Amino acid sequence: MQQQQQRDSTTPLPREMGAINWIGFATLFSKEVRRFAKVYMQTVAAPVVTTLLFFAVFALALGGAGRSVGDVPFLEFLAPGLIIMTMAQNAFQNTSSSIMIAKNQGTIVDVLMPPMTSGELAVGYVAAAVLRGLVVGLVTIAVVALFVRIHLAHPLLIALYGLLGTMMLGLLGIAGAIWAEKFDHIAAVTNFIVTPLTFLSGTFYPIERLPENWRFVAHLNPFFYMIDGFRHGFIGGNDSFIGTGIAVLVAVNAGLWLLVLRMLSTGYKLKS
Amino acid sequence: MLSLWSLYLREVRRFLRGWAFMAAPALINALMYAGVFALGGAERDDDGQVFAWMLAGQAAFWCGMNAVVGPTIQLVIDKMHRTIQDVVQAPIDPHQWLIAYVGAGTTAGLMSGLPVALFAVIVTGFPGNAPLSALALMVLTGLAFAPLGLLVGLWAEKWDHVGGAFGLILTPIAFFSGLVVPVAAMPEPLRSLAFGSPFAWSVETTRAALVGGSASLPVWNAVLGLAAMSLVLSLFAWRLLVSGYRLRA
Repeated sequence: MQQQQQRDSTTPLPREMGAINWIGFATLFSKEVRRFAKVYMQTVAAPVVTTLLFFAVFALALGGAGRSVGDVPFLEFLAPGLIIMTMAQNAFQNTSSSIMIAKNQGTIVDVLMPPMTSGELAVGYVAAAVLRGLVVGLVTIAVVALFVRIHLAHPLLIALYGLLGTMMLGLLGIAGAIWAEKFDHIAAVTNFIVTPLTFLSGTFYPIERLPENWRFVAHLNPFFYMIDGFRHGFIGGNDSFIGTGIAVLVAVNAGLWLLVLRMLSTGYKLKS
Repeated sequence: MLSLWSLYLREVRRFLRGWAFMAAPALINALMYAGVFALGGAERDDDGQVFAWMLAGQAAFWCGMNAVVGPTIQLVIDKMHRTIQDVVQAPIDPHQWLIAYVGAGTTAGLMSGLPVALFAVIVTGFPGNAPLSALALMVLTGLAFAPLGLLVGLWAEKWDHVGGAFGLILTPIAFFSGLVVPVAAMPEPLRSLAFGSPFAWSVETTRAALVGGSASLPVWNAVLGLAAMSLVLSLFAWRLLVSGYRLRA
Protein backbone atom coordinates (compact mmCIF):
# COMPACT_ATOMS: atom_id res chain seq x y z
CA MET A 1 0.00 0.00 0.00
CA GLN A 2 2.73 2.38 0.99
CA GLN A 3 4.81 1.28 -1.98
CA GLN A 4 1.86 1.94 -4.21
CA GLN A 5 1.51 5.45 -2.88
CA GLN A 6 5.19 6.16 -3.27
CA ARG A 7 5.10 5.20 -6.91
CA ASP A 8 2.13 7.44 -7.47
CA SER A 9 3.89 10.47 -6.09
CA THR A 10 6.87 10.02 -8.40
CA THR A 11 4.94 9.10 -11.55
CA PRO A 12 4.86 12.12 -13.83
CA LEU A 13 1.35 13.36 -14.38
CA PRO A 14 0.17 15.14 -17.49
CA ARG A 15 0.52 18.87 -17.10
CA GLU A 16 -2.71 20.79 -16.68
CA MET A 17 -2.79 23.26 -19.52
CA GLY A 18 -6.26 24.69 -19.70
CA ALA A 19 -7.83 25.71 -22.96
CA ILE A 20 -4.75 27.45 -24.31
CA ASN A 21 -1.14 26.35 -23.95
CA TRP A 22 0.18 29.75 -22.94
CA ILE A 23 3.65 28.48 -22.14
CA GLY A 24 4.00 26.86 -25.54
CA PHE A 25 2.71 29.93 -27.30
CA ALA A 26 4.98 32.30 -25.37
CA THR A 27 7.99 30.07 -26.03
CA LEU A 28 7.38 29.91 -29.77
CA PHE A 29 6.77 33.66 -29.88
CA SER A 30 9.96 34.47 -28.00
CA LYS A 31 11.95 32.02 -30.13
CA GLU A 32 10.70 33.75 -33.27
CA VAL A 33 11.42 37.20 -31.89
CA ARG A 34 14.91 36.26 -30.76
CA ARG A 35 15.60 34.73 -34.15
CA PHE A 36 15.31 38.10 -35.86
CA ALA A 37 16.49 40.27 -32.95
CA LYS A 38 19.79 38.40 -32.82
CA VAL A 39 20.69 39.39 -36.38
CA TYR A 40 19.25 42.90 -36.19
CA MET A 41 21.78 44.19 -38.72
CA GLN A 42 20.17 42.01 -41.37
CA THR A 43 16.59 42.15 -40.18
CA VAL A 44 16.18 45.73 -39.04
CA ALA A 45 19.14 47.88 -40.11
CA ALA A 46 19.47 46.55 -43.67
CA PRO A 47 15.79 47.05 -44.63
CA VAL A 48 15.87 50.55 -43.19
CA VAL A 49 18.98 51.39 -45.23
CA THR A 50 17.41 49.94 -48.37
CA THR A 51 14.24 51.96 -47.86
CA LEU A 52 16.27 55.14 -47.43
CA LEU A 53 18.17 54.38 -50.63
CA PHE A 54 14.92 53.91 -52.49
CA PHE A 55 13.72 57.15 -51.04
CA ALA A 56 16.88 59.03 -51.99
CA VAL A 57 16.90 57.70 -55.53
CA PHE A 58 13.24 58.49 -56.07
CA ALA A 59 13.78 61.94 -54.63
CA LEU A 60 16.59 62.52 -57.13
CA ALA A 61 14.70 61.06 -60.05
CA LEU A 62 11.14 62.16 -59.49
CA GLY A 63 11.01 64.47 -56.53
CA GLY A 64 12.38 67.65 -58.05
CA ALA A 65 10.63 70.65 -59.52
CA GLY A 66 7.73 70.70 -57.10
CA ARG A 67 6.19 67.50 -58.35
CA SER A 68 3.16 66.56 -56.38
CA VAL A 69 0.31 64.10 -56.28
CA GLY A 70 -2.88 66.09 -55.86
CA ASP A 71 -1.76 68.76 -53.43
CA VAL A 72 0.68 66.50 -51.58
CA PRO A 73 4.41 66.79 -52.45
CA PHE A 74 5.58 63.62 -54.16
CA LEU A 75 8.03 62.66 -51.41
CA GLU A 76 5.36 62.92 -48.72
CA PHE A 77 3.16 60.75 -50.92
CA LEU A 78 5.95 58.22 -51.44
CA ALA A 79 7.16 57.85 -47.84
CA PRO A 80 4.18 55.96 -46.34
CA GLY A 81 4.06 53.59 -49.32
CA LEU A 82 7.72 52.71 -48.96
CA ILE A 83 7.34 52.25 -45.21
CA ILE A 84 4.42 49.80 -45.38
CA MET A 85 6.11 47.99 -48.25
CA THR A 86 9.20 47.42 -46.12
CA MET A 87 7.09 46.36 -43.14
CA ALA A 88 5.14 43.86 -45.21
CA GLN A 89 8.22 42.38 -46.85
CA ASN A 90 9.86 41.90 -43.47
CA ALA A 91 6.81 40.21 -42.02
CA PHE A 92 6.84 37.82 -44.98
CA GLN A 93 10.56 37.20 -44.58
CA ASN A 94 10.20 36.42 -40.90
CA THR A 95 7.72 33.56 -41.15
CA SER A 96 8.84 32.19 -44.50
CA SER A 97 12.54 32.03 -43.70
CA SER A 98 11.96 30.59 -40.24
CA ILE A 99 9.75 27.74 -41.43
CA MET A 100 11.79 27.14 -44.56
CA ILE A 101 15.05 26.81 -42.63
CA ALA A 102 13.37 24.63 -39.99
CA LYS A 103 11.99 22.31 -42.67
CA ASN A 104 15.30 22.18 -44.43
CA GLN A 105 17.32 21.36 -41.33
CA GLY A 106 14.70 19.08 -39.86
CA THR A 107 14.27 21.20 -36.75
CA ILE A 108 10.60 21.71 -37.65
CA VAL A 109 9.89 18.62 -35.51
CA ASP A 110 10.77 20.68 -32.45
CA VAL A 111 7.85 22.91 -33.31
CA LEU A 112 5.44 20.15 -34.34
CA MET A 113 6.05 17.77 -31.42
CA PRO A 114 5.11 19.93 -28.44
CA PRO A 115 1.46 19.82 -27.37
CA MET A 116 0.39 22.91 -29.26
CA THR A 117 -2.68 23.37 -31.40
CA SER A 118 -2.49 24.72 -34.93
CA GLY A 119 -3.98 27.96 -33.67
CA GLU A 120 -1.26 28.44 -31.08
CA LEU A 121 1.42 27.70 -33.66
CA ALA A 122 -0.02 30.07 -36.22
CA VAL A 123 -0.57 32.90 -33.76
CA GLY A 124 2.95 32.47 -32.37
CA TYR A 125 4.52 32.77 -35.82
CA VAL A 126 2.28 35.59 -37.00
CA ALA A 127 2.67 37.66 -33.83
CA ALA A 128 6.46 37.62 -34.19
CA ALA A 129 6.19 38.56 -37.88
CA VAL A 130 3.87 41.45 -37.05
CA LEU A 131 6.27 42.61 -34.35
CA ARG A 132 9.21 42.58 -36.77
CA GLY A 133 7.14 44.52 -39.29
CA LEU A 134 6.20 47.10 -36.67
CA VAL A 135 9.76 47.48 -35.39
CA VAL A 136 11.10 47.96 -38.91
CA GLY A 137 8.23 50.36 -39.62
CA LEU A 138 8.82 52.51 -36.54
CA VAL A 139 12.55 52.78 -37.16
CA THR A 140 11.95 53.65 -40.82
CA ILE A 141 9.37 56.29 -39.94
CA ALA A 142 11.80 57.83 -37.45
CA VAL A 143 14.61 57.96 -40.00
CA VAL A 144 12.47 59.13 -42.92
CA ALA A 145 11.06 61.89 -40.69
CA LEU A 146 14.53 63.45 -40.73
CA PHE A 147 14.18 64.11 -44.46
CA VAL A 148 10.52 64.76 -45.11
CA ARG A 149 7.60 66.10 -43.14
CA ILE A 150 5.58 63.23 -41.75
CA HIS A 151 1.95 64.02 -41.00
CA LEU A 152 -0.10 61.76 -38.81
CA ALA A 153 -3.60 62.50 -40.03
CA HIS A 154 -5.25 59.36 -38.63
CA PRO A 155 -2.91 57.45 -36.26
CA LEU A 156 -5.50 54.75 -35.60
CA LEU A 157 -5.78 53.96 -39.28
CA ILE A 158 -2.00 53.75 -39.52
CA ALA A 159 -1.98 51.23 -36.69
CA LEU A 160 -4.89 49.24 -38.10
CA TYR A 161 -3.50 49.05 -41.63
CA GLY A 162 -0.01 48.33 -40.35
CA LEU A 163 -1.41 45.45 -38.35
CA LEU A 164 -3.60 44.03 -41.13
CA GLY A 165 -0.84 44.40 -43.73
CA THR A 166 1.94 42.74 -41.74
CA MET A 167 -0.47 40.01 -40.60
CA MET A 168 -1.45 39.28 -44.20
CA LEU A 169 2.15 38.93 -45.31
CA GLY A 170 3.13 36.95 -42.22
CA LEU A 171 0.35 34.47 -42.98
CA LEU A 172 1.32 34.35 -46.65
CA GLY A 173 4.87 33.58 -45.53
CA ILE A 174 3.65 30.61 -43.44
CA ALA A 175 1.51 29.24 -46.26
CA GLY A 176 4.28 29.73 -48.82
CA ALA A 177 6.94 28.11 -46.67
CA ILE A 178 4.76 25.11 -45.78
CA TRP A 179 4.02 24.58 -49.46
CA ALA A 180 7.63 25.10 -50.61
CA GLU A 181 9.89 22.08 -50.66
CA LYS A 182 13.06 23.91 -51.60
CA PHE A 183 14.41 27.43 -51.22
CA ASP A 184 13.77 27.85 -54.95
CA HIS A 185 10.05 27.47 -54.38
CA ILE A 186 9.90 30.18 -51.77
CA ALA A 187 12.06 32.39 -54.01
CA ALA A 188 9.45 31.82 -56.70
CA VAL A 189 6.67 32.92 -54.33
CA THR A 190 8.67 36.08 -53.60
CA ASN A 191 9.48 36.81 -57.23
CA PHE A 192 6.24 35.88 -58.91
CA ILE A 193 3.71 36.91 -56.26
CA VAL A 194 5.07 39.27 -53.62
CA THR A 195 7.32 41.49 -55.78
CA PRO A 196 4.83 42.09 -58.63
CA LEU A 197 1.92 42.70 -56.24
CA THR A 198 4.08 45.18 -54.35
CA PHE A 199 5.21 47.11 -57.39
CA LEU A 200 1.76 47.16 -58.96
CA SER A 201 0.16 48.47 -55.82
CA GLY A 202 0.54 52.23 -56.12
CA THR A 203 3.52 52.50 -53.78
CA PHE A 204 5.42 54.64 -56.23
CA TYR A 205 2.71 56.33 -58.23
CA PRO A 206 -0.95 57.21 -57.82
CA ILE A 207 -3.15 54.57 -59.34
CA GLU A 208 -4.76 57.20 -61.63
CA ARG A 209 -1.59 57.10 -63.69
CA LEU A 210 -2.49 53.65 -64.90
CA PRO A 211 -4.32 53.53 -68.22
CA GLU A 212 -8.08 53.65 -67.67
CA ASN A 213 -8.62 50.00 -68.66
CA TRP A 214 -5.96 48.79 -66.27
CA ARG A 215 -7.06 50.52 -63.10
CA PHE A 216 -9.44 47.72 -62.21
CA VAL A 217 -6.42 45.39 -62.00
CA ALA A 218 -4.99 47.51 -59.19
CA HIS A 219 -8.32 47.32 -57.41
CA LEU A 220 -8.09 43.52 -57.43
CA ASN A 221 -4.77 43.69 -55.61
CA PRO A 222 -5.03 43.49 -51.79
CA PHE A 223 -1.62 45.20 -51.54
CA PHE A 224 -3.19 48.25 -53.17
CA TYR A 225 -5.68 48.62 -50.32
CA MET A 226 -2.96 48.04 -47.74
CA ILE A 227 -0.86 50.90 -49.13
CA ASP A 228 -3.83 53.13 -49.91
CA GLY A 229 -5.18 52.98 -46.36
CA PHE A 230 -1.80 53.20 -44.65
CA ARG A 231 -0.95 56.26 -46.74
CA HIS A 232 -4.34 57.80 -45.99
CA GLY A 233 -3.51 57.46 -42.30
CA PHE A 234 -0.50 59.72 -42.89
CA ILE A 235 -1.54 62.27 -45.48
CA GLY A 236 -5.33 62.24 -45.11
CA GLY A 237 -7.34 63.40 -48.07
CA ASN A 238 -10.58 62.02 -49.36
CA ASP A 239 -9.72 59.95 -52.42
CA SER A 240 -9.00 56.72 -50.56
CA PHE A 241 -11.00 53.51 -50.25
CA ILE A 242 -10.97 53.09 -46.49
CA GLY A 243 -14.17 51.10 -46.01
CA THR A 244 -13.54 48.80 -48.97
CA GLY A 245 -9.89 48.52 -47.97
CA ILE A 246 -10.61 47.34 -44.45
CA ALA A 247 -13.21 44.89 -45.73
CA VAL A 248 -10.83 43.47 -48.35
CA LEU A 249 -7.93 43.15 -45.93
CA VAL A 250 -10.04 41.55 -43.22
CA ALA A 251 -11.46 39.10 -45.76
CA VAL A 252 -8.03 38.22 -47.19
CA ASN A 253 -6.63 37.80 -43.68
CA ALA A 254 -9.55 35.56 -42.72
CA GLY A 255 -9.02 33.44 -45.82
CA LEU A 256 -5.31 33.11 -45.10
CA TRP A 257 -5.96 32.21 -41.44
CA LEU A 258 -8.27 29.41 -42.59
CA LEU A 259 -5.72 28.20 -45.11
CA VAL A 260 -2.84 28.26 -42.63
CA LEU A 261 -4.86 26.59 -39.85
CA ARG A 262 -5.96 23.90 -42.26
CA MET A 263 -2.40 23.33 -43.46
CA LEU A 264 -1.15 23.06 -39.88
CA SER A 265 -3.94 20.81 -38.62
CA THR A 266 -3.81 18.41 -41.57
CA GLY A 267 -0.01 18.46 -41.48
CA TYR A 268 0.14 19.30 -45.19
CA LYS A 269 3.77 18.76 -46.32
CA LEU A 270 4.77 18.82 -42.64
CA LYS A 271 3.77 15.46 -41.23
CA SER A 272 3.80 12.14 -43.06
CA MET B 1 41.80 21.67 -69.62
CA LEU B 2 39.34 18.96 -68.67
CA SER B 3 39.38 20.05 -65.04
CA LEU B 4 38.91 23.67 -65.98
CA TRP B 5 35.96 22.80 -68.20
CA SER B 6 34.36 20.54 -65.54
CA LEU B 7 34.64 23.23 -62.90
CA TYR B 8 33.17 25.81 -65.27
CA LEU B 9 30.26 23.53 -66.18
CA ARG B 10 29.65 22.66 -62.54
CA GLU B 11 29.33 26.30 -61.62
CA VAL B 12 27.16 27.20 -64.61
CA ARG B 13 24.84 24.26 -63.93
CA ARG B 14 24.48 25.35 -60.33
CA PHE B 15 23.52 28.79 -61.52
CA LEU B 16 20.94 27.35 -63.91
CA ARG B 17 19.46 25.16 -61.18
CA GLY B 18 19.15 28.27 -59.03
CA TRP B 19 17.48 30.35 -61.76
CA ALA B 20 14.65 31.18 -59.37
CA PHE B 21 17.21 33.08 -57.28
CA MET B 22 19.11 34.95 -59.94
CA ALA B 23 17.96 35.02 -63.56
CA ALA B 24 14.23 35.28 -62.85
CA PRO B 25 14.47 38.00 -60.16
CA ALA B 26 16.75 40.01 -62.45
CA LEU B 27 14.18 40.12 -65.23
CA ILE B 28 11.17 40.61 -62.96
CA ASN B 29 12.79 43.33 -60.89
CA ALA B 30 14.04 45.12 -63.98
CA LEU B 31 10.57 45.09 -65.56
CA MET B 32 8.97 46.28 -62.34
CA TYR B 33 11.40 49.14 -61.76
CA ALA B 34 11.14 50.22 -65.36
CA GLY B 35 7.36 50.06 -65.28
CA VAL B 36 7.10 51.98 -62.04
CA PHE B 37 9.38 54.71 -63.33
CA ALA B 38 7.57 54.93 -66.62
CA LEU B 39 4.34 55.45 -64.67
CA GLY B 40 5.84 57.67 -62.00
CA GLY B 41 7.70 59.84 -64.51
CA ALA B 42 4.96 59.94 -67.11
CA GLU B 43 4.67 63.71 -66.87
CA ARG B 44 8.08 64.52 -68.21
CA ASP B 45 8.66 62.00 -70.94
CA ASP B 46 7.21 59.48 -73.27
CA ASP B 47 6.37 56.31 -71.31
CA GLY B 48 7.97 53.89 -73.77
CA GLN B 49 11.20 55.88 -73.78
CA VAL B 50 11.54 55.90 -70.01
CA PHE B 51 10.65 52.22 -69.86
CA ALA B 52 13.31 51.19 -72.39
CA TRP B 53 15.89 53.56 -70.91
CA MET B 54 15.39 52.06 -67.44
CA LEU B 55 15.46 48.50 -68.75
CA ALA B 56 18.68 49.06 -70.68
CA GLY B 57 20.44 50.36 -67.58
CA GLN B 58 19.09 47.46 -65.53
CA ALA B 59 20.47 45.01 -68.11
CA ALA B 60 24.01 46.22 -67.45
CA PHE B 61 23.42 46.45 -63.70
CA TRP B 62 22.14 42.86 -63.36
CA CYS B 63 24.90 41.60 -65.60
CA GLY B 64 27.48 43.06 -63.24
CA MET B 65 25.59 42.27 -60.06
CA ASN B 66 24.95 38.61 -60.79
CA ALA B 67 28.50 38.17 -62.06
CA VAL B 68 29.43 38.98 -58.45
CA VAL B 69 26.56 37.11 -56.80
CA GLY B 70 27.20 33.84 -58.68
CA PRO B 71 30.77 33.07 -57.59
CA THR B 72 30.17 34.53 -54.12
CA ILE B 73 27.17 32.39 -53.28
CA GLN B 74 28.67 29.24 -54.72
CA LEU B 75 31.96 29.65 -52.89
CA VAL B 76 30.27 30.41 -49.59
CA ILE B 77 27.93 27.42 -49.94
CA ASP B 78 30.92 25.23 -50.80
CA LYS B 79 32.83 26.50 -47.79
CA MET B 80 29.89 26.03 -45.43
CA HIS B 81 29.07 22.51 -46.65
CA ARG B 82 32.78 21.65 -46.83
CA THR B 83 32.28 20.64 -50.49
CA ILE B 84 35.05 23.14 -51.22
CA GLN B 85 37.33 20.14 -50.51
CA ASP B 86 36.21 18.62 -53.81
CA VAL B 87 37.64 21.62 -55.60
CA VAL B 88 40.68 22.23 -53.42
CA GLN B 89 41.85 18.64 -53.74
CA ALA B 90 41.25 18.29 -57.45
CA PRO B 91 44.35 18.67 -59.63
CA ILE B 92 43.54 22.21 -60.72
CA ASP B 93 46.04 25.04 -60.93
CA PRO B 94 45.08 28.35 -59.37
CA HIS B 95 44.94 30.03 -62.79
CA GLN B 96 42.54 27.37 -64.11
CA TRP B 97 40.44 27.83 -61.03
CA LEU B 98 40.41 31.56 -61.60
CA ILE B 99 39.42 31.19 -65.26
CA ALA B 100 36.64 28.71 -64.47
CA TYR B 101 35.09 30.91 -61.78
CA VAL B 102 35.45 34.15 -63.71
CA GLY B 103 34.00 32.41 -66.78
CA ALA B 104 31.09 31.01 -64.80
CA GLY B 105 30.45 34.35 -63.11
CA THR B 106 30.45 36.13 -66.47
CA THR B 107 28.07 33.52 -67.86
CA ALA B 108 25.76 34.02 -64.88
CA GLY B 109 25.87 37.78 -65.42
CA LEU B 110 25.06 37.45 -69.11
CA MET B 111 22.24 34.99 -68.51
CA SER B 112 20.68 37.52 -66.13
CA GLY B 113 21.40 40.67 -68.14
CA LEU B 114 20.76 39.57 -71.73
CA PRO B 115 17.02 38.80 -71.31
CA VAL B 116 16.59 42.27 -69.79
CA ALA B 117 18.56 43.81 -72.67
CA LEU B 118 16.37 41.92 -75.13
CA PHE B 119 13.24 43.43 -73.60
CA ALA B 120 14.79 46.89 -73.79
CA VAL B 121 15.57 46.67 -77.50
CA ILE B 122 12.20 45.12 -78.29
CA VAL B 123 10.57 48.23 -76.80
CA THR B 124 12.72 50.67 -78.78
CA GLY B 125 12.91 48.67 -81.97
CA PHE B 126 14.93 45.55 -82.63
CA PRO B 127 17.94 45.19 -82.76
CA GLY B 128 18.69 48.38 -80.88
CA ASN B 129 21.27 51.09 -81.45
CA ALA B 130 24.54 49.15 -81.50
CA PRO B 131 23.75 45.60 -80.40
CA LEU B 132 27.25 44.21 -80.88
CA SER B 133 28.87 46.97 -78.84
CA ALA B 134 26.24 46.41 -76.16
CA LEU B 135 27.00 42.69 -76.11
CA ALA B 136 30.75 43.36 -75.94
CA LEU B 137 30.26 45.84 -73.11
CA MET B 138 28.14 43.35 -71.17
CA VAL B 139 30.74 40.60 -71.60
CA LEU B 140 33.37 43.02 -70.37
CA THR B 141 31.12 43.97 -67.44
CA GLY B 142 30.85 40.30 -66.50
CA LEU B 143 34.61 39.84 -66.76
CA ALA B 144 35.21 42.89 -64.58
CA PHE B 145 32.74 41.98 -61.85
CA ALA B 146 33.15 38.18 -61.67
CA PRO B 147 36.62 38.35 -60.04
CA LEU B 148 35.07 40.62 -57.42
CA GLY B 149 32.58 37.82 -56.73
CA LEU B 150 35.47 35.43 -56.32
CA LEU B 151 37.15 37.80 -53.85
CA VAL B 152 33.99 38.32 -51.80
CA GLY B 153 33.35 34.56 -51.83
CA LEU B 154 36.86 33.79 -50.62
CA TRP B 155 36.70 36.42 -47.91
CA ALA B 156 33.17 35.75 -46.60
CA GLU B 157 32.80 33.12 -43.92
CA LYS B 158 29.16 33.60 -43.04
CA TRP B 159 26.01 34.74 -44.76
CA ASP B 160 26.18 37.89 -42.62
CA HIS B 161 29.36 38.84 -44.46
CA VAL B 162 27.72 38.26 -47.83
CA GLY B 163 24.67 40.26 -46.79
CA GLY B 164 26.88 43.10 -45.56
CA ALA B 165 28.98 43.20 -48.73
CA PHE B 166 25.91 43.36 -50.96
CA GLY B 167 23.43 45.26 -48.83
CA LEU B 168 25.73 47.89 -47.40
CA ILE B 169 28.34 48.32 -50.14
CA LEU B 170 27.45 47.06 -53.61
CA THR B 171 23.74 47.92 -53.77
CA PRO B 172 24.16 51.48 -52.47
CA ILE B 173 26.98 52.11 -54.96
CA ALA B 174 24.89 50.67 -57.78
CA PHE B 175 21.86 52.78 -56.86
CA PHE B 176 23.83 55.96 -57.47
CA SER B 177 25.50 54.82 -60.67
CA GLY B 178 23.20 56.19 -63.29
CA LEU B 179 20.72 53.38 -62.89
CA VAL B 180 17.76 55.65 -62.17
CA VAL B 181 19.15 59.14 -62.59
CA PRO B 182 21.67 59.74 -65.40
CA VAL B 183 25.06 60.53 -63.92
CA ALA B 184 25.14 63.80 -65.87
CA ALA B 185 21.94 64.94 -64.11
CA MET B 186 23.14 64.18 -60.58
CA PRO B 187 23.94 66.95 -58.14
CA GLU B 188 27.52 67.39 -57.00
CA PRO B 189 29.30 65.77 -55.18
CA LEU B 190 27.35 62.62 -56.13
CA ARG B 191 28.18 63.19 -59.78
CA SER B 192 31.94 63.17 -59.30
CA LEU B 193 31.67 60.14 -57.03
CA ALA B 194 29.56 58.30 -59.61
CA PHE B 195 32.35 58.63 -62.17
CA GLY B 196 34.41 56.42 -59.89
CA SER B 197 31.83 53.65 -59.89
CA PRO B 198 32.39 50.74 -62.28
CA PHE B 199 28.62 50.24 -62.31
CA ALA B 200 28.30 53.72 -63.81
CA TRP B 201 30.89 52.99 -66.53
CA SER B 202 28.97 49.91 -67.51
CA VAL B 203 25.41 51.18 -67.11
CA GLU B 204 25.88 54.46 -68.98
CA THR B 205 27.71 53.03 -71.99
CA THR B 206 25.71 49.81 -72.31
CA ARG B 207 22.49 51.79 -72.17
CA ALA B 208 23.63 54.14 -74.92
CA ALA B 209 24.61 51.14 -77.04
CA LEU B 210 21.26 49.45 -76.48
CA VAL B 211 18.71 52.23 -76.82
CA GLY B 212 20.72 55.26 -77.96
CA GLY B 213 21.08 58.56 -76.21
CA SER B 214 24.29 59.89 -74.77
CA ALA B 215 26.50 58.40 -72.10
CA SER B 216 28.14 60.65 -69.57
CA LEU B 217 31.56 59.25 -70.34
CA PRO B 218 33.32 58.17 -73.57
CA VAL B 219 32.87 54.49 -74.32
CA TRP B 220 36.63 53.88 -74.46
CA ASN B 221 37.08 55.23 -70.96
CA ALA B 222 34.52 52.70 -69.77
CA VAL B 223 36.19 49.90 -71.71
CA LEU B 224 39.60 50.76 -70.30
CA GLY B 225 38.25 51.13 -66.79
CA LEU B 226 36.41 47.81 -66.85
CA ALA B 227 39.37 46.01 -68.43
CA ALA B 228 41.72 47.41 -65.80
CA MET B 229 39.31 46.38 -63.04
CA SER B 230 39.11 42.88 -64.48
CA LEU B 231 42.88 42.50 -64.67
CA VAL B 232 43.68 43.95 -61.26
CA LEU B 233 40.98 42.00 -59.41
CA SER B 234 41.81 38.78 -61.27
CA LEU B 235 45.45 39.15 -60.37
CA PHE B 236 44.55 39.74 -56.74
CA ALA B 237 42.18 36.76 -56.71
CA TRP B 238 44.86 34.61 -58.31
CA ARG B 239 47.32 35.60 -55.57
CA LEU B 240 44.78 34.58 -52.93
CA LEU B 241 44.10 31.27 -54.64
CA VAL B 242 47.84 30.53 -54.81
CA SER B 243 48.25 31.35 -51.13
CA GLY B 244 45.19 29.28 -50.18
CA TYR B 245 43.64 32.20 -48.30
CA ARG B 246 40.72 30.92 -46.18
CA LEU B 247 40.72 27.69 -48.17
CA ARG B 248 43.64 25.72 -46.78
CA ALA B 249 44.50 25.61 -43.13
